[in-house]
Amino acid sequence: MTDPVRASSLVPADLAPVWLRLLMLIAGRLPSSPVVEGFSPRCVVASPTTRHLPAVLAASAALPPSRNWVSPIAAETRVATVLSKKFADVPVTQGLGTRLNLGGTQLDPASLHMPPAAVLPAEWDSERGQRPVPHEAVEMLKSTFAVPRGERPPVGEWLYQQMCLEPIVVLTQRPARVAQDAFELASRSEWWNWSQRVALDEVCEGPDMWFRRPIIVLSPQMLHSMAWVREVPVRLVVVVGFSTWMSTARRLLMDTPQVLMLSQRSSDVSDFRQWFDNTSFGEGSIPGIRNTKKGGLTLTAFGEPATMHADIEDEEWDL
Amino acid sequence: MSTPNLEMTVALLDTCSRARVATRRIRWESMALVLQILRKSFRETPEAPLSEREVEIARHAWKWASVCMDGPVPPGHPSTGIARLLLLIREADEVLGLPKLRRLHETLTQVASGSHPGAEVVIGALGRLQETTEFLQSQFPDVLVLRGDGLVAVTEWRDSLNLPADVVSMSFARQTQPWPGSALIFGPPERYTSSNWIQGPEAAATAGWLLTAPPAPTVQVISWTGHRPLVKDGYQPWLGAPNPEFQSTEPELIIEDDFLPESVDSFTPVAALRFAVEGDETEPAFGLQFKADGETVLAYFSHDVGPKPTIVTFSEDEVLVTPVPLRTVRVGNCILLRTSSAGKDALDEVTREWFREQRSGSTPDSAIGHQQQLKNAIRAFIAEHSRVDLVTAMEAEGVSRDYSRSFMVRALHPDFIAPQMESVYDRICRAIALKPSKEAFRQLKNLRTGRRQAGLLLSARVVGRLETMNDLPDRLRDNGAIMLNETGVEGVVLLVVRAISSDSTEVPAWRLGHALMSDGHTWTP
Repeated sequence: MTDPVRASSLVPADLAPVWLRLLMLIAGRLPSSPVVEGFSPRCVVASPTTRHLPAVLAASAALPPSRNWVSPIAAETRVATVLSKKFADVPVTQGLGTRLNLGGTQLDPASLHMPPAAVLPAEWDSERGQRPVPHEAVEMLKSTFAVPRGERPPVGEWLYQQMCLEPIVVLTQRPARVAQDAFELASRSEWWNWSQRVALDEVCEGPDMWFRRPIIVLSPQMLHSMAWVREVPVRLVVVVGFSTWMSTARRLLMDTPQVLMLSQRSSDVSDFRQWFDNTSFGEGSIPGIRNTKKGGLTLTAFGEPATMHADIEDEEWDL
Repeated sequence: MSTPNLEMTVALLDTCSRARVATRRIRWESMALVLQILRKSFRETPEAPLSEREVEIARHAWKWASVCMDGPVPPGHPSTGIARLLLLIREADEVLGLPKLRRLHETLTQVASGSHPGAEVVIGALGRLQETTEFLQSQFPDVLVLRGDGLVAVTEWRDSLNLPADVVSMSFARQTQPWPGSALIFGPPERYTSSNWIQGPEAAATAGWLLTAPPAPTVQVISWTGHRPLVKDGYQPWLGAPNPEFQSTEPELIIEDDFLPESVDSFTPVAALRFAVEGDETEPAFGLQFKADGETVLAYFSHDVGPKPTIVTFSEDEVLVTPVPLRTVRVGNCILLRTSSAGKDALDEVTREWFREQRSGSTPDSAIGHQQQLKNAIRAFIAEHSRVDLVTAMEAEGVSRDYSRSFMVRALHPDFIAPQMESVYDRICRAIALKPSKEAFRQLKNLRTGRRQAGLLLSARVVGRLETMNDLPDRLRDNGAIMLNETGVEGVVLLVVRAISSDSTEVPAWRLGHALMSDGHTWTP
């Protein structure tokens, strides 16, 4: 599903500050960054604060939608999709003839463009009702995607749904703060391109909005409660703080590209240094960001052995 | 439109991007004499033991010198403890009549009656800065950042001269909007964070932000006799990260004997406890050792079972409370423990509230019944067969060997609810001849969700309280232990790890994560 061309095709807004451009560079390139086999791409962003920056990075990593997509909707599955302009989790059964029955709605794959969707994993345990798609984000997408002559205008809700199928996870002990930061950032419209603005709209905490938002903000405890998390695609994990980095929750997504947001003013910098300076890592290769300081950010990339994770046991004690 | 939080982030990044560091070291001859006397005549060795009075004098003298290192502190200021120190020396001299006491008294009197050499440098620096920086009404352009020991004296000194600069502790500077002009730092950054448990490179890394993500775009490190020199490659967030740009105005005048000693107290790790074996439900665990009010406190944690150590970290304006694997805990980390049953009671109560609000007024009782039923069935199976048979039976149902081996001890821990995945739950039920039920699993899942939500709520309550205590990092640095007794956070204690046992000891599972005294009894502060 990952399409690096889609992600890197967007340019920063003219007034985007230097630090934002750097975070865009990481967000665009880390997921496709080449590393030695057996290592997963990692990046460290050290800064004087971890407020706002995780949300910026996550918004910059959101995959912009495309006019063309392949829908995975097939009979005998259960999917998260958009029906009647609302998010819906529905079972798919064989309908009449070649039609498919999506929770009571008959669609013909042969004659219709099927809505974007994700097949819900076997251990999916959430009973979610239908929910509206964020209105402002939809309007922004509709205005961005010009209508070629003779074609029907794209369904804005479908464009938005595409952005949610491979979400960016922000892992933090303070999910509410990241959501609040995203809200504040959205007010600086001159900093963002259209994809970032859409991603920053209505950022939510918790797993309930999986496949319904481009950015999912979780605490380690929330991540542990998601028995299905290894069965779904995740584009990037943004980990806020070294103590969260060392929590077992991060290891559930060891194969996914990860960025550590490290506050230089935090009391755990020496713990990070002890871990980082004394561990043998593979070299990361995003041009221009190894041991770089620019715009107030200090950056480096490396490869972490993907084999460092063992099977994660049931976690009952992270209260 | 921008918001105050976002403005702060932008200001911090802007300040950091323009950071440059200038250093200046000055000689303080009379202080050098004091330090020399203390080193040569008041250092206890096996060959030359000191009397109690001499030890007391040395302790007070080092403390006084340490306050004088914290900025342009008038050395005779009452807050330095000079009066008490001189009295102690006079009293000791009357009894002991030692020449070194008279020499120390004389030298100290000379220092205390003079001014601090750093004062002139600071006044000069601020004068120059005033010509080049804008003056903001809400905040002085420049700031003097102190460790904290000299805060009262330096503030008074600043007021007496009407100097246009703020005087703040490092903790305050960390939480505050950056200053537009210059930050004056006294001595190397590690002086600000060193404690009885964190020194040298670790202290340097923790305080490195004073240079690399500083409180103002220009940092002036002013140091004098008694301060250690800056260390190379010690302040970046990792080795190899770019160093700040240093500019030195004068050659370094450093004499090895000039430095104050890094303080080390007399903490001695105690031997691992031996617990009475209660049934077979013990687990190999490692002891974390702390010190509170002069008493050694222990807490045992296992790599696999029971609660994880909960680390408390302090960032620019927030406190983070994170359970982490035992293997990541290091000496100097701050751990949060609950010392009474209040924590458990609160968890149960909030879980009940969650069920009432989120599960249509139901209670967790039925789910707790299923939780106990699972434990009882495991116990019954082991009693009838054996532990090995349990592993074999689980494997036969398709559960992995590693999971099966670790499951038994974990499942019998009081806090364990049930396997997270229904497929695993079903297999285990079949292995122990317990009828698997979809409804039971649903209730167990609800119980886990309720407990997690309750745990998060209680953590948020503790964090909320901790974030109102602005001087918390300083108090932990100086004392190593803080106890909370306010409603909602009663029984919560923060303890700095002083030692970690290298060998494991068998600990009853239910005692894991509890605060204990060195005689094995529960610690109640």
